[in-house]
Amino acid sequence: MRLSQTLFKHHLGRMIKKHWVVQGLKRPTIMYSEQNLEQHGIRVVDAKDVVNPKIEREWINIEVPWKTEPKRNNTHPDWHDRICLTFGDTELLVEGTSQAQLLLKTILFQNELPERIENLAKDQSKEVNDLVVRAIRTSNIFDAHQELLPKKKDPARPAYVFPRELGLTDLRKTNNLTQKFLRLCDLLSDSTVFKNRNIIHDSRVSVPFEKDEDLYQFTSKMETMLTSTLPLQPLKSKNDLIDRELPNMFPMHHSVGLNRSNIYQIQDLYPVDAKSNWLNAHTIFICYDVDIKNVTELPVTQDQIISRAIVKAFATAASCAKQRFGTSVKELPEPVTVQCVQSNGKWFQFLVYQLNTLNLDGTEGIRNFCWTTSQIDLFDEAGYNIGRPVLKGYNPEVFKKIYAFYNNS
Amino acid sequence: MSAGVLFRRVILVGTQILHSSVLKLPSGHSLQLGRSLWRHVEVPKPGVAGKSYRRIVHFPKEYTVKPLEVTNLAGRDPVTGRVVAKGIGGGIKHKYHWIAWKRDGPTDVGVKPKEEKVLEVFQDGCRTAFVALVGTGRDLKYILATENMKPGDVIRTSCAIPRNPVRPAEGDAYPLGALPMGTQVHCVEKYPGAGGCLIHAAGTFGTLMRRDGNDRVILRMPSKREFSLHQNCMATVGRLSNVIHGSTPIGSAQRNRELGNRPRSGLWQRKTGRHGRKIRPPPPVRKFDHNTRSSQSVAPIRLSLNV
Repeated sequence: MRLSQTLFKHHLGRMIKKHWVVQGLKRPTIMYSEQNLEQHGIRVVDAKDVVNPKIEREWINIEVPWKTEPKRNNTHPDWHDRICLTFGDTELLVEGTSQAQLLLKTILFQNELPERIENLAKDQSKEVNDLVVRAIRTSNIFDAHQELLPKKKDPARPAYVFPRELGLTDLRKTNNLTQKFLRLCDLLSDSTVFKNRNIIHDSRVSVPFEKDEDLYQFTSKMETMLTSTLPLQPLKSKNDLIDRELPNMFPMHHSVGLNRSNIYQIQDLYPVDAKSNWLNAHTIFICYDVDIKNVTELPVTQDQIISRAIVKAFATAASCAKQRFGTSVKELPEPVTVQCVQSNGKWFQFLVYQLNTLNLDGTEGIRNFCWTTSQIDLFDEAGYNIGRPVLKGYNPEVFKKIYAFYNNS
Repeated sequence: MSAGVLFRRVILVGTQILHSSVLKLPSGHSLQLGRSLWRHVEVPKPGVAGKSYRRIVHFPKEYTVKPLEVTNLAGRDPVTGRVVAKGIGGGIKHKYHWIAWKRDGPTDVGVKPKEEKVLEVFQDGCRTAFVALVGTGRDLKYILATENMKPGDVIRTSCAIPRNPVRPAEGDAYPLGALPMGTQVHCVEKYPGAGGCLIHAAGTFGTLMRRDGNDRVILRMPSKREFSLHQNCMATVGRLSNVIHGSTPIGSAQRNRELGNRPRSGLWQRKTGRHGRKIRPPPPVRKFDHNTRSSQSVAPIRLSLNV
């Protein structure tokens, strides 16, 4: 015989419990007994406090042997009362080029490069073009490296899961192409040009500046940076086009969409020492990767991609100017020019930025200049088609422009 | 069974009970015992206070246009873990776009309305109407897109009620008292300053019918019910986007699964009134007032039995 049967005999289980649930919902009548007792001078104490009296325990701070992240509030060591607007590597400007123009007080010449560079861009011989095609093959097709590529999604069939692909990332393709093209430029150029150039990999710049009483800090990472012993000559007089109007962004402010934070470190970074022979930034090569997206995660526009290159070229030119003329410089003794090549391993976009002033307040006075091309495809298709390597539609224009950029001085 | 055996068994059981109580066996032991026991669990009803038990959105402290992460609930109450709403589960996970329900503008009649620019209109997986990204000053925000809204449009917002009704354009937000009668509106506030909460579904709109006293306006809802709202309640002008949503069939059972609905049968239920009401006179005008809202009943004291 089980003992539990005897023990549960009086216990009706579910019925009793349900009964308590239903009866527990009854609203107790307020008898004001507490007040009455207090009137008679009898102290009323909560029964729970008598049964389970509160134990006051001393708070002991234990120092942990590992490092903990400081809280992101005003006790953070990097906290400042002044808000800083920052622009990093994976961000984009909401309004694209018009915002970049207003923010950096820049006049933009779209779909054109300065005449001096256009004159330097000459047709290359067949041998050179063959070498360029070979460079494309080695970096985009025959590179044996394999990495997990980002997930694919088809907006028309959102539930469909594509097989996960392994292959070459855009970053790797771009870096390989850049290295090979620069090597080719070294070989083809005159020694007077070649000996004045130097290549720096994975360099960082950081440039804080003020505009209209706001504090900004732009940071940028360049996959490859070409420096030179002599600075690039200005392409236009800095007093030109002084009365041309900048675009209007009303009703938005030119800082719309930028990161606003109280936690930041103000630092002037430039990858080359001020005493170095190779102080002058000549050309920067930046990669447009899949990581770069809008904060809203909406599709990125061509205009935004161009504006990203403008901001990066400005950041490099400004930090170079600060390294050359001192960190507090506003009106530059001479313009600082930087060339920029943006690519994703398939298309290339060329940009020349002439920094005339670091006084970015308002929209009047001396402005900076920027020339930019649209995206030019290096090829139509490079990859494998049913197991066979395919390269279709090679465009010699791209290397022509890179060579012209390299030889510009 | 002899008396001796019975005695021994009782002693044995007694020592077991003793052991379990004195030696404090691991709690898993008692959990196992409790599994078969009935326990009353208070489970909420779906649809109360706007909760559908479809997903939780992880809202940060400050407003952001960054699409927010969600946790899909599959019809379960996150407190008890019990299924509350049947027929929900699975589907494509969508990030949530936090709509700025409050439209702020100047409160003075003499001041020009605040202007905002529409930057993009796009589909949002968590709602039926399209969403618009708008920018003004240094800020970006999302609002519900109207029928003809397109990137580049400038929309205006004012909280002032002038003597004569304003001439609003689509997408503008004004207090109900400032709009002419007959205007189509959506995203209407129930109480002034509470944020637009009425009329959010694709292609819907309410119509301003007539004034109700000095400071109230009667609004006809898409369901043809009439609500009396305070004239300071903000409303956005126009009809909501994605008008064809209501007349678009889901298409297939698989598409219904993609939308996060589970298979079901027996859709037709005679008594629910789901497929149309009886022809009765319309219900009386419902009045939304701060006074009626605050007089909520006090929750009763709960007694419980711990077994």
